[in-house]
Amino acid sequence: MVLSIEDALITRGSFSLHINGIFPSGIHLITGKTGSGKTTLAEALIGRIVPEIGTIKCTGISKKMLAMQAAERHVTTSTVTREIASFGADRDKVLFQAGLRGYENRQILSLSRGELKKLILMCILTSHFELIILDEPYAGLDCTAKKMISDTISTTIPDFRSDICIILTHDLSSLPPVDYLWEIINGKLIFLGQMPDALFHWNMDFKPLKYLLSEKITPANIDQKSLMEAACRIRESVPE
Amino acid sequence: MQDSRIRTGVMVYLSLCAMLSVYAALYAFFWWIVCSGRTQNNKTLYNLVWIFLFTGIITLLTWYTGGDAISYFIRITTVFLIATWAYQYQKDGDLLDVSVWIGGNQLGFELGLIAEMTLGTIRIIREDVTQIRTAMYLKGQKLTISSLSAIVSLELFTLLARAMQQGDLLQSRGYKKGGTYTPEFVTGSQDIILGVLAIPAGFLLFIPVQDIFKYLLPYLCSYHF
Repeated sequence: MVLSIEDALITRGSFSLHINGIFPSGIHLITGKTGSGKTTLAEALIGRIVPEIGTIKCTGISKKMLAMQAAERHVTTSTVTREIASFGADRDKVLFQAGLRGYENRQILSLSRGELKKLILMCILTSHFELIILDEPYAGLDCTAKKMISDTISTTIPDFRSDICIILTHDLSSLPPVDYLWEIINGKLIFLGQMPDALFHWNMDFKPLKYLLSEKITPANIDQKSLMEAACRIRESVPE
Repeated sequence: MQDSRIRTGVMVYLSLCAMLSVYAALYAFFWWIVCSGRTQNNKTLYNLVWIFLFTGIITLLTWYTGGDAISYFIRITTVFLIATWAYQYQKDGDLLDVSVWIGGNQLGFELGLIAEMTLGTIRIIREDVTQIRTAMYLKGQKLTISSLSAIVSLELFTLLARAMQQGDLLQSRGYKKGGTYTPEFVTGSQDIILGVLAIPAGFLLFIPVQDIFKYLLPYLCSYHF
Protein backbone atom coordinates (compact mmCIF):
# COMPACT_ATOMS: atom_id res chain seq x y z
CA MET A 1 0.00 0.00 0.00
CA VAL A 2 1.66 3.20 -1.14
CA LEU A 3 0.79 6.69 -2.28
CA SER A 4 3.33 7.96 -4.76
CA ILE A 5 3.68 11.35 -6.38
CA GLU A 6 5.93 11.94 -9.34
CA ASP A 7 6.93 15.56 -9.94
CA ALA A 8 3.40 16.93 -9.65
CA LEU A 9 2.69 20.62 -10.10
CA ILE A 10 -0.50 22.33 -9.01
CA THR A 11 -1.15 25.98 -9.78
CA ARG A 12 -3.88 28.24 -8.49
CA GLY A 13 -3.51 31.76 -9.82
CA SER A 14 -0.09 33.00 -8.80
CA PHE A 15 0.36 30.17 -6.28
CA SER A 16 2.07 26.95 -7.29
CA LEU A 17 2.82 23.77 -5.35
CA HIS A 18 5.47 21.23 -6.34
CA ILE A 19 4.94 17.74 -4.92
CA ASN A 20 7.25 14.78 -5.13
CA GLY A 21 7.55 11.79 -2.85
CA ILE A 22 6.36 8.42 -1.66
CA PHE A 23 4.03 7.88 1.28
CA PRO A 24 4.39 4.34 2.68
CA SER A 25 2.15 2.87 5.41
CA GLY A 26 2.28 4.74 8.72
CA ILE A 27 1.45 8.14 10.13
CA HIS A 28 2.78 11.11 8.19
CA LEU A 29 2.82 14.65 9.48
CA ILE A 30 2.92 17.50 6.98
CA THR A 31 3.45 20.94 8.46
CA GLY A 32 3.51 24.33 6.88
CA LYS A 33 2.58 27.89 7.70
CA THR A 34 -0.94 29.23 7.09
CA GLY A 35 -1.43 29.66 3.33
CA SER A 36 1.45 27.35 2.46
CA GLY A 37 -0.83 25.05 0.44
CA LYS A 38 -1.77 22.31 2.91
CA THR A 39 -5.43 22.20 1.89
CA THR A 40 -4.49 22.23 -1.80
CA LEU A 41 -2.13 19.32 -1.15
CA ALA A 42 -4.82 17.42 0.79
CA GLU A 43 -7.28 17.83 -2.07
CA ALA A 44 -4.66 16.69 -4.58
CA LEU A 45 -3.71 13.62 -2.54
CA ILE A 46 -7.34 12.54 -2.28
CA GLY A 47 -7.78 13.05 -6.03
CA ARG A 48 -10.04 16.10 -6.00
CA ILE A 49 -7.44 18.23 -7.77
CA VAL A 50 -5.62 16.82 -10.75
CA PRO A 51 -2.07 18.19 -11.11
CA GLU A 52 -1.20 20.04 -14.32
CA ILE A 53 2.07 18.13 -14.56
CA GLY A 54 3.07 14.80 -13.02
CA THR A 55 1.00 12.03 -11.47
CA ILE A 56 -0.41 10.99 -8.11
CA LYS A 57 -0.86 7.22 -7.81
CA CYS A 58 -2.59 5.16 -5.11
CA THR A 59 -1.30 1.60 -5.21
CA GLY A 60 -3.29 -0.97 -3.24
CA ILE A 61 -5.63 1.67 -1.85
CA SER A 62 -9.34 1.26 -2.46
CA LYS A 63 -10.93 3.07 0.48
CA LYS A 64 -9.81 6.62 1.10
CA MET A 65 -11.18 9.54 3.06
CA LEU A 66 -10.41 13.21 3.51
CA ALA A 67 -11.35 14.97 6.74
CA MET A 68 -11.99 18.50 5.58
CA GLN A 69 -11.17 21.47 7.75
CA ALA A 70 -14.81 22.58 7.81
CA ALA A 71 -16.62 19.57 9.27
CA GLU A 72 -20.06 20.84 8.19
CA ARG A 73 -19.09 20.12 4.57
CA HIS A 74 -19.16 16.41 5.36
CA VAL A 75 -22.76 16.46 6.52
CA THR A 76 -25.19 14.77 4.16
CA THR A 77 -27.93 13.67 6.57
CA SER A 78 -30.09 15.29 9.23
CA THR A 79 -29.46 13.31 12.44
CA VAL A 80 -26.38 12.18 14.36
CA THR A 81 -27.19 8.48 13.94
CA ARG A 82 -27.74 8.78 10.19
CA GLU A 83 -24.56 10.79 9.78
CA ILE A 84 -22.51 8.12 11.53
CA ALA A 85 -24.16 5.48 9.35
CA SER A 86 -23.30 7.45 6.20
CA PHE A 87 -19.61 6.84 7.02
CA GLY A 88 -20.28 3.16 7.68
CA ALA A 89 -18.97 3.62 11.23
CA ASP A 90 -20.03 1.91 14.45
CA ARG A 91 -22.50 4.22 16.18
CA ASP A 92 -21.74 3.37 19.80
CA LYS A 93 -17.99 3.42 19.25
CA VAL A 94 -18.12 6.83 17.57
CA LEU A 95 -20.34 8.38 20.21
CA PHE A 96 -18.18 6.98 23.01
CA GLN A 97 -14.91 8.14 21.42
CA ALA A 98 -16.32 11.58 20.65
CA GLY A 99 -17.74 11.98 24.15
CA LEU A 100 -21.21 12.41 22.66
CA ARG A 101 -23.12 9.57 24.27
CA GLY A 102 -26.81 10.42 24.52
CA TYR A 103 -26.67 12.42 21.27
CA GLU A 104 -28.04 9.53 19.14
CA ASN A 105 -31.29 11.22 18.19
CA ARG A 106 -30.02 14.77 18.07
CA GLN A 107 -30.40 16.80 14.89
CA ILE A 108 -27.07 17.63 13.25
CA LEU A 109 -28.01 21.31 13.25
CA SER A 110 -28.27 21.31 17.04
CA LEU A 111 -24.59 20.39 17.49
CA SER A 112 -21.99 23.06 18.13
CA ARG A 113 -19.13 23.42 15.67
CA GLY A 114 -16.74 21.68 18.04
CA GLU A 115 -19.13 18.79 18.63
CA LEU A 116 -19.70 18.36 14.91
CA LYS A 117 -15.97 18.39 14.22
CA LYS A 118 -15.37 15.73 16.89
CA LEU A 119 -18.22 13.62 15.53
CA ILE A 120 -16.98 13.73 11.93
CA LEU A 121 -13.35 13.07 12.90
CA MET A 122 -14.36 10.09 15.04
CA CYS A 123 -16.56 8.74 12.23
CA ILE A 124 -13.50 8.81 9.96
CA LEU A 125 -10.95 7.58 12.49
CA THR A 126 -13.01 4.66 13.78
CA SER A 127 -13.94 3.44 10.28
CA HIS A 128 -11.47 1.49 8.26
CA PHE A 129 -10.01 3.53 5.44
CA GLU A 130 -6.73 2.60 3.80
CA LEU A 131 -5.84 6.22 3.20
CA ILE A 132 -6.94 8.93 5.62
CA ILE A 133 -6.02 12.55 5.07
CA LEU A 134 -6.72 14.89 7.96
CA ASP A 135 -6.70 18.55 6.92
CA GLU A 136 -6.18 20.73 10.00
CA PRO A 137 -7.91 18.22 12.32
CA TYR A 138 -7.29 20.35 15.41
CA ALA A 139 -8.76 23.60 14.07
CA GLY A 140 -11.64 24.86 16.21
CA LEU A 141 -11.14 22.29 18.98
CA ASP A 142 -10.22 22.85 22.63
CA CYS A 143 -7.16 21.24 24.27
CA THR A 144 -9.13 18.26 25.62
CA ALA A 145 -10.67 17.50 22.23
CA LYS A 146 -7.29 17.88 20.47
CA LYS A 147 -5.76 15.36 22.85
CA MET A 148 -8.71 13.03 22.34
CA ILE A 149 -8.23 13.11 18.56
CA SER A 150 -4.48 12.48 18.87
CA ASP A 151 -5.09 9.61 21.31
CA THR A 152 -7.54 8.05 18.88
CA ILE A 153 -5.02 8.29 16.06
CA SER A 154 -2.17 6.83 18.09
CA THR A 155 -3.77 4.25 20.38
CA THR A 156 -7.19 3.08 19.34
CA ILE A 157 -6.34 2.53 15.71
CA PRO A 158 -3.52 0.01 15.48
CA ASP A 159 -4.53 -0.56 11.84
CA PHE A 160 -2.85 2.72 11.02
CA ARG A 161 0.46 0.91 10.98
CA SER A 162 -0.64 -0.93 7.87
CA ASP A 163 -2.63 1.98 6.41
CA ILE A 164 -1.60 5.48 5.46
CA CYS A 165 -2.64 8.41 7.63
CA ILE A 166 -1.57 11.90 6.60
CA ILE A 167 -2.03 14.79 9.02
CA LEU A 168 -1.71 18.29 7.61
CA THR A 169 -1.54 20.94 10.30
CA HIS A 170 0.17 24.02 11.62
CA ASP A 171 -1.12 23.35 15.14
CA LEU A 172 1.65 21.47 16.95
CA SER A 173 0.23 21.58 20.48
CA SER A 174 -1.30 18.06 20.73
CA LEU A 175 0.22 15.88 18.05
CA PRO A 176 0.20 12.08 18.11
CA PRO A 177 3.47 10.12 17.64
CA VAL A 178 4.20 10.10 13.91
CA ASP A 179 6.41 7.97 11.69
CA TYR A 180 7.41 10.40 8.95
CA LEU A 181 7.80 14.14 8.84
CA TRP A 182 7.22 16.41 5.83
CA GLU A 183 7.19 20.15 5.43
CA ILE A 184 5.89 22.60 2.83
CA ILE A 185 8.38 25.39 2.25
CA ASN A 186 8.05 28.02 -0.48
CA GLY A 187 5.51 26.02 -2.45
CA LYS A 188 7.44 22.76 -2.29
CA LEU A 189 6.73 19.58 -0.33
CA ILE A 190 9.93 18.38 1.32
CA PHE A 191 10.44 14.99 2.95
CA LEU A 192 12.42 15.45 6.18
CA GLY A 193 12.74 11.78 7.06
CA GLN A 194 11.72 9.31 9.72
CA MET A 195 11.35 10.08 13.39
CA PRO A 196 13.33 11.14 15.33
CA ASP A 197 16.10 12.02 12.82
CA ALA A 198 13.70 14.25 10.85
CA LEU A 199 13.38 16.60 13.83
CA PHE A 200 16.85 18.03 13.15
CA HIS A 201 15.76 19.24 9.70
CA TRP A 202 12.40 20.67 10.76
CA ASN A 203 11.95 24.42 10.27
CA MET A 204 8.74 24.89 12.24
CA ASP A 205 9.00 27.21 15.21
CA PHE A 206 8.08 24.61 17.84
CA LYS A 207 9.58 26.02 21.00
CA PRO A 208 9.54 22.94 23.28
CA LEU A 209 11.41 20.95 20.61
CA LYS A 210 13.86 23.77 19.89
CA TYR A 211 14.66 24.02 23.57
CA LEU A 212 15.21 20.27 23.88
CA LEU A 213 17.46 20.18 20.83
CA SER A 214 19.44 23.14 22.14
CA GLU A 215 20.01 21.10 25.33
CA LYS A 216 21.31 18.23 23.12
CA ILE A 217 18.32 16.10 24.00
CA THR A 218 16.45 14.39 21.18
CA PRO A 219 12.87 13.34 21.90
CA ALA A 220 11.75 10.03 20.43
CA ASN A 221 8.78 11.75 18.79
CA ILE A 222 6.77 14.96 18.83
CA ASP A 223 3.79 13.91 20.92
CA GLN A 224 3.39 15.35 24.39
CA LYS A 225 4.46 12.13 26.14
CA SER A 226 7.71 11.91 24.17
CA LEU A 227 8.47 15.58 24.78
CA MET A 228 7.83 15.20 28.53
CA GLU A 229 10.03 12.15 28.66
CA ALA A 230 12.79 14.06 26.88
CA ALA A 231 12.33 17.02 29.24
CA CYS A 232 12.84 14.67 32.19
CA ARG A 233 16.16 13.66 30.71
CA ILE A 234 17.35 17.29 31.03
CA ARG A 235 16.82 17.08 34.79
CA GLU A 236 18.70 13.77 34.89
CA SER A 237 21.62 15.24 33.00
CA VAL A 238 21.94 18.34 35.23
CA PRO A 239 25.03 17.82 37.49
CA GLU A 240 24.30 17.98 41.21
CA MET B 1 -10.53 43.35 -18.91
CA GLN B 2 -8.93 45.12 -15.95
CA ASP B 3 -11.13 48.18 -15.47
CA SER B 4 -14.15 47.11 -13.44
CA ARG B 5 -16.07 50.27 -14.43
CA ILE B 6 -15.87 49.41 -18.14
CA ARG B 7 -16.54 45.72 -17.47
CA THR B 8 -19.63 46.41 -15.36
CA GLY B 9 -20.83 49.08 -17.81
CA VAL B 10 -20.41 46.77 -20.80
CA MET B 11 -22.19 43.95 -18.95
CA VAL B 12 -25.21 46.11 -18.03
CA TYR B 13 -25.32 47.82 -21.46
CA LEU B 14 -25.08 44.64 -23.55
CA SER B 15 -27.52 42.77 -21.32
CA LEU B 16 -30.10 45.56 -21.62
CA CYS B 17 -29.62 45.78 -25.39
CA ALA B 18 -29.89 41.99 -25.71
CA MET B 19 -33.13 41.91 -23.72
CA LEU B 20 -34.68 44.71 -25.77
CA SER B 21 -33.83 43.53 -29.29
CA VAL B 22 -32.96 40.20 -30.82
CA TYR B 23 -30.62 41.93 -33.33
CA ALA B 24 -28.81 43.64 -30.49
CA ALA B 25 -28.63 40.25 -28.79
CA LEU B 26 -27.02 38.78 -31.93
CA TYR B 27 -24.50 41.64 -31.95
CA ALA B 28 -23.80 41.10 -28.23
CA PHE B 29 -23.29 37.39 -28.96
CA PHE B 30 -20.72 38.20 -31.65
CA TRP B 31 -19.09 40.68 -29.25
CA TRP B 32 -18.84 37.84 -26.73
CA ILE B 33 -17.27 35.51 -29.31
CA VAL B 34 -14.72 38.08 -30.46
CA CYS B 35 -13.99 40.11 -27.33
CA SER B 36 -14.63 38.02 -24.23
CA GLY B 37 -11.17 36.44 -24.28
CA ARG B 38 -12.64 33.21 -22.93
CA THR B 39 -10.36 30.25 -22.47
CA GLN B 40 -11.08 26.92 -24.13
CA ASN B 41 -10.80 24.91 -20.98
CA ASN B 42 -13.11 22.24 -19.59
CA LYS B 43 -14.62 24.61 -17.03
CA THR B 44 -15.71 27.07 -19.74
CA LEU B 45 -17.20 24.26 -21.81
CA TYR B 46 -18.95 22.92 -18.71
CA ASN B 47 -20.46 26.37 -18.04
CA LEU B 48 -21.55 26.69 -21.66
CA VAL B 49 -23.26 23.31 -21.60
CA TRP B 50 -25.21 24.32 -18.50
CA ILE B 51 -26.19 27.68 -19.96
CA PHE B 52 -27.45 26.10 -23.21
CA LEU B 53 -29.20 23.32 -21.31
CA PHE B 54 -30.96 25.70 -18.94
CA THR B 55 -32.03 28.20 -21.60
CA GLY B 56 -32.93 25.31 -23.93
CA ILE B 57 -35.43 23.88 -21.42
CA ILE B 58 -37.05 27.30 -20.84
CA THR B 59 -37.13 27.84 -24.63
CA LEU B 60 -38.95 24.55 -25.12
CA LEU B 61 -41.49 25.54 -22.49
CA THR B 62 -41.92 28.95 -24.16
CA TRP B 63 -42.39 27.27 -27.54
CA TYR B 64 -44.89 24.83 -26.06
CA THR B 65 -46.94 27.65 -24.53
CA GLY B 66 -46.93 29.54 -27.84
CA GLY B 67 -44.33 32.23 -27.08
CA ASP B 68 -41.57 33.58 -29.32
CA ALA B 69 -39.15 30.81 -28.39
CA ILE B 70 -36.28 31.50 -30.83
CA SER B 71 -36.10 35.19 -29.92
CA TYR B 72 -36.20 34.30 -26.22
CA PHE B 73 -33.44 31.71 -26.63
CA ILE B 74 -31.12 34.14 -28.42
CA ARG B 75 -31.70 36.97 -25.96
CA ILE B 76 -31.53 35.05 -22.70
CA THR B 77 -28.53 32.92 -23.78
CA THR B 78 -26.63 36.09 -24.69
CA VAL B 79 -27.47 37.68 -21.33
CA PHE B 80 -26.18 34.57 -19.54
CA LEU B 81 -22.99 34.48 -21.63
CA ILE B 82 -22.25 38.16 -20.97
CA ALA B 83 -22.93 37.69 -17.25
CA THR B 84 -20.63 34.64 -17.13
CA TRP B 85 -17.92 36.62 -18.89
CA ALA B 86 -18.20 39.49 -16.38
CA TYR B 87 -18.24 37.09 -13.41
CA GLN B 88 -15.17 35.28 -14.74
CA TYR B 89 -13.09 38.46 -14.43
CA GLN B 90 -14.66 39.65 -11.17
CA LYS B 91 -12.23 40.27 -8.33
CA ASP B 92 -12.92 40.96 -4.65
CA GLY B 93 -13.73 44.66 -4.20
CA ASP B 94 -14.63 45.36 -7.85
CA LEU B 95 -18.30 46.03 -7.15
CA LEU B 96 -17.49 48.26 -4.17
CA ASP B 97 -15.05 50.21 -6.37
CA VAL B 98 -17.64 50.77 -9.10
CA SER B 99 -20.45 51.49 -6.70
CA VAL B 100 -18.50 54.11 -4.73
CA TRP B 101 -17.27 55.63 -8.02
CA ILE B 102 -20.88 56.03 -9.19
CA GLY B 103 -22.76 56.70 -5.96
CA GLY B 104 -20.20 58.16 -3.57
CA ASN B 105 -19.38 57.21 0.01
CA GLN B 106 -22.97 57.07 1.26
CA LEU B 107 -25.40 55.35 -1.10
CA GLY B 108 -22.62 53.98 -3.32
CA PHE B 109 -20.79 52.48 -0.38
CA GLU B 110 -23.98 50.89 0.98
CA LEU B 111 -24.90 49.33 -2.35
CA GLY B 112 -21.32 48.25 -3.02
CA LEU B 113 -21.07 46.60 0.39
CA ILE B 114 -24.32 44.70 -0.14
CA ALA B 115 -23.18 43.60 -3.62
CA GLU B 116 -19.78 42.47 -2.33
CA MET B 117 -21.35 40.50 0.52
CA THR B 118 -23.80 38.88 -1.88
CA LEU B 119 -21.06 37.88 -4.31
CA GLY B 120 -18.93 36.63 -1.44
CA THR B 121 -21.82 34.44 -0.29
CA ILE B 122 -22.29 33.07 -3.82
CA ARG B 123 -18.61 32.11 -3.88
CA ILE B 124 -18.95 30.42 -0.48
CA ILE B 125 -22.00 28.46 -1.65
CA ARG B 126 -20.15 27.37 -4.78
CA GLU B 127 -17.19 26.18 -2.71
CA ASP B 128 -19.48 24.46 -0.19
CA VAL B 129 -21.31 22.62 -2.96
CA THR B 130 -18.01 21.40 -4.43
CA GLN B 131 -16.82 20.19 -1.02
CA ILE B 132 -20.13 18.49 -0.21
CA ARG B 133 -19.97 16.69 -3.56
CA THR B 134 -16.47 15.52 -2.63
CA ALA B 135 -17.76 14.29 0.75
CA MET B 136 -20.59 12.39 -0.93
CA TYR B 137 -18.19 10.85 -3.43
CA LEU B 138 -15.84 9.74 -0.64
CA LYS B 139 -18.73 8.30 1.37
CA GLY B 140 -19.96 6.51 -1.75
CA GLN B 141 -23.34 8.21 -1.43
CA LYS B 142 -25.75 9.28 -4.13
CA LEU B 143 -27.89 12.40 -4.02
CA THR B 144 -31.35 11.61 -2.69
CA ILE B 145 -34.24 13.82 -1.66
CA SER B 146 -33.52 13.28 2.05
CA SER B 147 -29.79 13.99 1.67
CA LEU B 148 -30.56 17.05 -0.46
CA SER B 149 -32.94 18.44 2.15
CA ALA B 150 -30.33 17.87 4.88
CA ILE B 151 -27.62 19.57 2.84
CA VAL B 152 -29.82 22.54 1.93
CA SER B 153 -30.98 23.00 5.56
CA LEU B 154 -27.41 22.91 6.86
CA GLU B 155 -26.20 25.29 4.16
CA LEU B 156 -29.03 27.71 4.90
CA PHE B 157 -28.37 27.49 8.62
CA THR B 158 -24.64 28.06 8.13
CA LEU B 159 -25.24 31.03 5.83
CA LEU B 160 -27.66 32.64 8.28
CA ALA B 161 -25.19 32.14 11.14
CA ARG B 162 -22.44 33.67 8.99
CA ALA B 163 -24.65 36.63 8.07
CA MET B 164 -25.41 37.22 11.74
CA GLN B 165 -21.70 37.14 12.58
CA GLN B 166 -20.97 39.60 9.77
CA GLY B 167 -23.72 41.91 11.07
CA ASP B 168 -22.34 41.74 14.61
CA LEU B 169 -18.84 42.42 13.31
CA LEU B 170 -19.94 45.49 11.36
CA GLN B 171 -21.87 46.78 14.38
CA SER B 172 -18.97 46.20 16.77
CA ARG B 173 -16.72 48.16 14.41
CA GLY B 174 -19.09 51.11 14.62
CA TYR B 175 -20.71 50.74 11.21
CA LYS B 176 -23.93 52.74 10.83
CA LYS B 177 -24.17 54.13 7.33
CA GLY B 178 -21.75 54.68 4.46
CA GLY B 179 -17.98 54.74 4.76
CA THR B 180 -14.83 56.33 3.48
CA TYR B 181 -13.37 54.55 0.51
CA THR B 182 -11.26 55.66 -2.43
CA PRO B 183 -11.53 53.27 -5.35
CA GLU B 184 -8.61 52.77 -7.71
CA PHE B 185 -8.84 51.62 -11.32
CA VAL B 186 -6.36 50.46 -13.92
CA THR B 187 -7.47 51.16 -17.49
CA GLY B 188 -5.68 49.37 -20.31
CA SER B 189 -5.99 50.29 -23.99
CA GLN B 190 -7.67 46.93 -24.60
CA ASP B 191 -10.41 47.87 -22.10
CA ILE B 192 -11.24 51.01 -24.08
CA ILE B 193 -11.28 49.16 -27.43
CA LEU B 194 -13.58 46.43 -26.07
CA GLY B 195 -15.84 49.05 -24.50
CA VAL B 196 -16.10 51.00 -27.76
CA LEU B 197 -16.84 47.81 -29.72
CA ALA B 198 -19.87 47.18 -27.48
CA ILE B 199 -21.49 50.55 -28.34
CA PRO B 200 -23.04 49.54 -31.74
CA ALA B 201 -25.36 47.10 -29.92
CA GLY B 202 -27.37 50.13 -28.77
CA PHE B 203 -27.74 51.47 -32.33
CA LEU B 204 -29.51 48.25 -33.31
CA LEU B 205 -32.33 49.14 -30.91
CA PHE B 206 -33.23 52.12 -33.10
CA ILE B 207 -32.34 50.82 -36.58
CA PRO B 208 -35.25 48.86 -38.14
CA VAL B 209 -33.06 45.94 -39.19
CA GLN B 210 -36.06 43.84 -40.21
CA ASP B 211 -37.30 46.56 -42.56
CA ILE B 212 -33.88 46.89 -44.14
CA PHE B 213 -33.85 43.21 -44.96
CA LYS B 214 -37.49 43.35 -46.06
CA TYR B 215 -36.68 46.01 -48.67
CA LEU B 216 -33.21 44.74 -49.43
CA LEU B 217 -34.00 41.07 -49.96
CA PRO B 218 -36.23 41.46 -53.08
CA TYR B 219 -33.47 43.50 -54.75
CA LEU B 220 -30.87 40.96 -53.80
CA CYS B 221 -33.05 38.10 -55.00
CA SER B 222 -33.82 39.75 -58.35
CA TYR B 223 -30.16 40.55 -58.99
CA HIS B 224 -28.61 38.18 -61.53
CA PHE B 225 -24.98 37.52 -60.79
